[in-house]
Amino acid sequence: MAEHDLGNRVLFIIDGIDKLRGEDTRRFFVVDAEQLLAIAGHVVYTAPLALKYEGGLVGRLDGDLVLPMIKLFEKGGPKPDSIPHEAGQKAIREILLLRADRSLFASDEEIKTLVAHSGGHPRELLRLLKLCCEYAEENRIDQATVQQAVQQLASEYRRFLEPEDYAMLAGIDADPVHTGNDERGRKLLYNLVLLEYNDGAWRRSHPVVRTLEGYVRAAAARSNGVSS
Amino acid sequence: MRAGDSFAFDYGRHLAAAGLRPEHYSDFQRLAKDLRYGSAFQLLIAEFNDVPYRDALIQRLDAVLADAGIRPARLVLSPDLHADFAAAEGALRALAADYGAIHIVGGETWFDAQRWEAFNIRREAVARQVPARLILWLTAEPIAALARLAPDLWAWRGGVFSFTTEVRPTQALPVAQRGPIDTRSLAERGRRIAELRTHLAAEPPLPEDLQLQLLDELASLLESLGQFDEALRVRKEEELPVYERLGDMRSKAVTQGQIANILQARGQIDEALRIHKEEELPVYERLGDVRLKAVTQGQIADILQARGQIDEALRIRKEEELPVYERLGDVRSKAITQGKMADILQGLGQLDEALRIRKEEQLLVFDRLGDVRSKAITQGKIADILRVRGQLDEALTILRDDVRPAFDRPGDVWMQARASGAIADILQARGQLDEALRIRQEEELPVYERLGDVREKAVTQGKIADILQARGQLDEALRIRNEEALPVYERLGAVREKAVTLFKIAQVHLAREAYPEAMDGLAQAYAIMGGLQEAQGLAHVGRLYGQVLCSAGEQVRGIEVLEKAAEAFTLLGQDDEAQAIQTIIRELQDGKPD
Repeated sequence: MAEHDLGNRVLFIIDGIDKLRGEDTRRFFVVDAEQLLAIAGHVVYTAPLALKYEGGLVGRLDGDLVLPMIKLFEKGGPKPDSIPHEAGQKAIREILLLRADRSLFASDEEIKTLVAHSGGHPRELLRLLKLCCEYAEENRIDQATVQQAVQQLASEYRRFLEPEDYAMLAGIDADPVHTGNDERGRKLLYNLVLLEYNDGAWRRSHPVVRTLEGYVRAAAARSNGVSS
Repeated sequence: MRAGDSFAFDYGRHLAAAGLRPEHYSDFQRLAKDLRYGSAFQLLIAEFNDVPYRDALIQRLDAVLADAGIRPARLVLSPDLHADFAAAEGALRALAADYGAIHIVGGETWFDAQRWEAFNIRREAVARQVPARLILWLTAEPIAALARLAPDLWAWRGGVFSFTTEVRPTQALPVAQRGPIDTRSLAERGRRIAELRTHLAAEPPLPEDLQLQLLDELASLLESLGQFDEALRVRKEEELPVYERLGDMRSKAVTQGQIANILQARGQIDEALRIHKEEELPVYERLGDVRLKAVTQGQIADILQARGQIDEALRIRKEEELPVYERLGDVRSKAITQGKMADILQGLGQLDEALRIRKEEQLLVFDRLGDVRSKAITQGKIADILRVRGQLDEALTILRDDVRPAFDRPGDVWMQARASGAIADILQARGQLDEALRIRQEEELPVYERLGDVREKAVTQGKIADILQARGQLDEALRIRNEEALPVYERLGAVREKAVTLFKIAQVHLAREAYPEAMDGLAQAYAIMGGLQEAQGLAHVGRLYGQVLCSAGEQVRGIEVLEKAAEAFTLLGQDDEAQAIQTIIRELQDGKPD
């Protein structure tokens, strides 16, 4: 701001407040919102996602934004993930190659698979890359290693997913209008099973979760139900 | 192998995992890698459902961590000692002052929603103030609760590793995996050992004949990874008693032969020779198994050859082995035996005759049999004769054009590395030290590391030290010999290789005029070679040791050692060398300075 001569007000970034829970959250952001607004400066607070979906912030502060995933595919198209979003794919690929040299990958296919399975979430991308490094016994990441990493990450999600979760995820993926904003939907959002794009206007299940048998069955059941 | 050396770590983690259930092999490897290569603070979640098994895992992990220079500790969470998360955090802070990794156990009953939330709120502070790898051992339900109740903390996890044990459904009977060439990597060997141990411990037990096949594979795998003690134990305590009980004297004798081979690799030559002569041969004779008798006689000849009993070794090859293979029409075994005779002749300096055998007897047979591998090995031996003759260009052409390409196929990586090593030998002899060094480091070492062949790796490191020594990099050469090669040979019990390394270290000390250190190394190397009755060793080590003793004023002992060295050279057919030593002895006796 100073470089662009936009004023001398101080910008505060308050991180970690998203860890507040229950009554503490409400008191901080809702009951005492006047105190927050009394600070003569720009302030960015991280807030628990629940506050947004419970509608507690409406009209209280100057704005409430959800940081979306980096979009990898366009929302439309004949079927999900059929139209790549080039800019998003490029950005995620660049993040990957900043962390791991290109020569470590057997081919471009491994990079594409990792990018696609990150869902556009940089931390998930790096988690997959870390898993690849754990599985690789040579200094080379090949397709088999990438598949092991995807399976392992998927199995970590499977630990807490319930049968109804799969049905909901398959429903959201098949029908973009389906928002899934109830308690189950929110829980899936908090756990990154459900990822948001375009400032929350569009949601998709995490790509690794789509490899789980529970999801595959739920999607098949839904497809059979729809076609019959 | 040094602590902190990445191969030592890989070797250690694979061997540690080889004792686990095979389904846990992969997660153990991942966890070990994270602990070694990950940042100082990590939150790693390990799932278990069996406390004794968890404790066994912790013990194995601690051994791997200790090898990597990381001190492990354990924190048992208990409501009496840790009323809330703050108390647990305090305990972690205290431990982190002295330990690099902390196993946190007892969490499955200690954590509740409030404590998970407190951990989540304090997570950045914990990461800052507890610079240690935290391994949180939990059962399945608390892990799911962690993900549900503290999704932010869950998203912060460094990894999740599963070590649950379940009763598995009955599987098809396992099959022993043995082939003439074992191309399995270190990781594959380690995993296979874990599988074999699980099959062998299965209830109800496998049929006895199948158990014996699996035990044989297990012992061979352990031997290939340099785990001689454990390989010997399997052969002696698990295989032999079964063959004895079954009255299968032939298989018992074969197993005894395998035991003898391990003892021989560890320098227990007399015992190996006794087993071959007294335990094996009489059995094959009684059973009328002429082939196995011939093979065993060949092994006896190998030992005699190394001891310089050349005439007897040659006689056995000619009179005991060859006629048997001829009678059996086994042209391949005959050609291999002829190759061993050519080895002896080459050692005696009879290069023309050795070359004739290689070209006219061996190559023709292997060509006719379409045995590309044996043909390439023979061509490698021809190249070696040319190298000895000084025909370096021709030798190099054979190695590059015929030998190396013959092994250029998946699965024969060990022979590829050996062929590359032979090329490096020539380049080294031609003074192309940089290229020789590159081959050793880039084409040989990585293969032996991948296969877990610690012995061959140490040999190659010794050759790298030779190059560095030739370039005047004495400190680094000395470091490699002392810290990389010597400890491996000591652990393997490979006494001959240990003696050679001590001899080379002594040469560096001599070049630096560090006489007491040189004397000490030479004395040790000479004593080992004497114990082995190794003619080559007594000749080469003795020649130097004797002169150093004389220089140090111990003339009587020095001349005695020199005379033995001359005798050894004579035994090996190297009369010129023997004469040269006699000249030195005469000069010393006449009081002339050297």
